[in-house]
Amino acid sequence: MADSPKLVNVTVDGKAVSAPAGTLLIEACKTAGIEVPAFCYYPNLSLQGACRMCLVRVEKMPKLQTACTTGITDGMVVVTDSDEIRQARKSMVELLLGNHPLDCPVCDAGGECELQDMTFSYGAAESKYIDIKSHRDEQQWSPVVYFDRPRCILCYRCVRVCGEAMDVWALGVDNRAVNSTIVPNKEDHLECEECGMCIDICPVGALTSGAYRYKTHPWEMKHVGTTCTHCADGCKTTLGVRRSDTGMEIVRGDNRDKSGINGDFLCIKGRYAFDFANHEDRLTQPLVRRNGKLAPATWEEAFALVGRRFKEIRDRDGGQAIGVIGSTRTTNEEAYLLQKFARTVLGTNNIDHHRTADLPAFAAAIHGKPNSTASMRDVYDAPAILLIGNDPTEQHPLLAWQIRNNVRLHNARLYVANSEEIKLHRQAVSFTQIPNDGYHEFVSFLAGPGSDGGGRPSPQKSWADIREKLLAEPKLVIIFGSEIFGNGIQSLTKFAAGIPGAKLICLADYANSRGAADMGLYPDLLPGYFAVSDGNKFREEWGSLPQKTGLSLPEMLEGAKSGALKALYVIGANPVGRLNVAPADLKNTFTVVQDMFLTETAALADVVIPAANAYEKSGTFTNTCGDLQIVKKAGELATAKPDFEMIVRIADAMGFDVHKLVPFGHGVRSDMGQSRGAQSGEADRHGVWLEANGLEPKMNPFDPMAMLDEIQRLVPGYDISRIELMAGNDQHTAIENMEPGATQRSELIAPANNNLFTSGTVGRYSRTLNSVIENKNPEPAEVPAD
Amino acid sequence: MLGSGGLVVVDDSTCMVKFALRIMKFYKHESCGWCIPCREGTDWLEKTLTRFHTGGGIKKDIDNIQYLSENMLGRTFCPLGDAAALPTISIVKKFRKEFEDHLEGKPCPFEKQSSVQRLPVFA
Ligand code: SF4
Ligand code: SF4
Ligand code: SF4
Ligand code: SF4
Ligand code: FES
Repeated sequence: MADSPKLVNVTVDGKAVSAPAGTLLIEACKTAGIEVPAFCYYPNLSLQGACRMCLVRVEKMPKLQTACTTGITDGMVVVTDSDEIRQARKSMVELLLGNHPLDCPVCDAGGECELQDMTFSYGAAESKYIDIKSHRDEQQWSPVVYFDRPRCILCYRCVRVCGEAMDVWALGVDNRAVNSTIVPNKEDHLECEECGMCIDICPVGALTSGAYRYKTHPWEMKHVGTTCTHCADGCKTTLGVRRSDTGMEIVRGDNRDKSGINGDFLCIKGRYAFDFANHEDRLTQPLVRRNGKLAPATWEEAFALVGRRFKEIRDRDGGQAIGVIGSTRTTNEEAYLLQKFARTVLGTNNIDHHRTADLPAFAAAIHGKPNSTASMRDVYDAPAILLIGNDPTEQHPLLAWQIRNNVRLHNARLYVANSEEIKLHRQAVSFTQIPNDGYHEFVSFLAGPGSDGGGRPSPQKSWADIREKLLAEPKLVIIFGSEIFGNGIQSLTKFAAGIPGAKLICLADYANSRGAADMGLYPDLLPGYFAVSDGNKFREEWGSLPQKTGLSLPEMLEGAKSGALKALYVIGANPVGRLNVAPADLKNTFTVVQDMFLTETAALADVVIPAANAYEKSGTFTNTCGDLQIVKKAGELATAKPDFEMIVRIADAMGFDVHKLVPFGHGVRSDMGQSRGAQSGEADRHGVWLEANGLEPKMNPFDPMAMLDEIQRLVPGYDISRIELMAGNDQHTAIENMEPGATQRSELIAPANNNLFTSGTVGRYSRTLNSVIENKNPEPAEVPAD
Repeated sequence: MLGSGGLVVVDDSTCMVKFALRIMKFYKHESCGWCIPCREGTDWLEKTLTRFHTGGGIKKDIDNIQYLSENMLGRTFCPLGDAAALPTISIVKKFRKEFEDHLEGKPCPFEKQSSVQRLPVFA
């Protein structure tokens, strides 16, 4: 990278500003707190100079200059506000309004429209024109994207974000003069990634989404900042939530404030696929099997029955007769609680989850090597990236965005090694085609002679060239998919050790796959990858623990079939659907399922309890990079409960002292403001303050934050700043501080195989995702189960 | 004399409103549509001049034509906007009387002996 450019001094409206030479004037003004209006300028997209809203007066220049295209030079004197400038801007707005329908009351953008704001600021209220406005009918370009041409102000932001930032290039400009119009790539419709970035970035209501249009106004929603529940990248999202007859309805997702690891990026799933939450097939009451059929029951009946049966089986056959399958979509607190419940209440290590990456091997390989993992933010800044396996465009949309835009904006060098020519090869300086079964050979070649990778050094010269180039890349970020596991990961870390500042990312697939692993949903590993045989720290805290390695997920299903496993407790997972388990296999096993829908697994259960999803509860998620983020409840359905609460209720029904399970009542006690004679609003403010300082009262056994206290205390690497976390900031956890655990059997790893438009169980129930899939492919596709 | 450096010779039987309109038709057609003032300005000027010339004008239009052109001038992405604005400003300023005549002698007092049809076609 070049040395930082020299600072120059300029004067803006009498204020002295200094910034690197060549900084765009509009940005230099921002640093001085002066906002120059802009329609077409958008940070990190190419410059247009098209809307002329940013005109300013630069001393010694004959004409007004566009602040968005002018680089600053030393001694520049700039005026951003004067009668002349206001008049110029006002006239631009007047011209735009000339042909504009001004149907603000029904427009999706109404209330957060940049044209409305500018009209307000520059007072172009009086219409100068009496001629007829041009009108065009609105067009639907895809299930997601609608275009209302008369509202378009031709700022070309959509065209640029789609092309430059998404590398999709699905939008363009057609015709000229007043007939200029934005057009989709396939004449009258779009074939694209349906990310909705174009809609999000549109300053007006010209591009609108099928999910949100005409549903509400911005001021009628509650806005909740949380984390996306679809993939392992963990985009921050602000959900727009409305009251509805079922309690609440999420109508929008975006990250307009650009806070968080994803800036303003969201893929179609984060932006629109929250609609599964309101799907009519959602379970609304517990079901209990009576005379062979699932029939409605009360919550109390369900918990009492499960508690009684679990207790009976445990007392009669021992904990090893019970199996627990955890989820990749529940929060860290729930995953942690679940394994603690399995080990201390049920007395079993028979606990597992759908593994999509060999995280234990990763933890072991980098054990004790500080700073060896990269965060999602690092991917955007790294000078060089090596991507082995995986197709992030499909499976890790945010990661793909970070890589793409790092290459585009910071000239990062991307090296891709893959068996397929994945889309990101377009950004790569080097693409190495690896035979489908050659990944391990490749990484052991990288590790060099004498590596314990087991592969023969490849004679291929191209591999040697790549290796040499990579070794010369300081601060290389190495990202690998599930193609690499076990010894392969060791080879890679060995290779990374030879590169100063190298960092790694191990890609897992579901929203909290990483959390499930870190929190110990393994038959042989406790939270933090401590081996069960050596979990003294936990034994001290929890009392006695089973020492023997438990059953893995397939072994549990086998056990159910053979009759050895008498009870199975499944939370937010669909092993029956994923592994095509025959219904008869579970016939003699008392099976309890907590889920949102009647999945293949739930349909075979003896008790089904309706679960809340990540948008309906609080807690934390850890993304695939290890970035810990807060999950906030957007709203609540009376007809579902968080898994956390249900686990505690079942423990209680088994007669277990729930204080031993959830350390509630131990937190810092603070009153909620009631005793302060709170006037309206005061209690709220006090609550906000408590939350921001990590001082929740934790007075009830269903408080996930009480569990987080314990996690932070006992799981190495999770000792991050609670205040930052609560404030909505991502906190990178250190898996390298965790334990080396035990070696895993690699055949237990099965990638999720989701693509851009699928997302395990939740994706199946998203109307938006389904309509996009149908639209692209009239043949119904097989949607992977989780 | 009037504007952009091009030279067009017309005699005094030419209706200057129609002349301004002809110029604006050309620039509206030539505008690439990139920036707001040129794309929208040429369109509204052409719409207003067409109506004005065919007898639908109102007094406010005259000022408005001048206002629109003045607001395009010097503010467009490329000089095409200036080229459209300059002659229009000059025509309104120098031949305001002819515009006012259109308001009284509706539609166009020159229409019968108009020579503007015989002007060479631009471009
Ligand atoms: S785009 Fe803005 S100005 Fe136009 S109708 Fe919608 S809210 Fe109103
Ligand atoms: S939805 Fe995304 S991919 Fe499709 S046109 Fe818009 S920006 Fe491009
Ligand atoms: S559709 Fe929206 S983003 Fe695209 S050019 Fe028009 S106003 Fe700009
Ligand atoms: S990239 Fe992943 S986390 Fe981000 S919006 Fe898409 S599915 Fe959600
Ligand atoms: S913001 Fe500068 S011309 Fe549009």
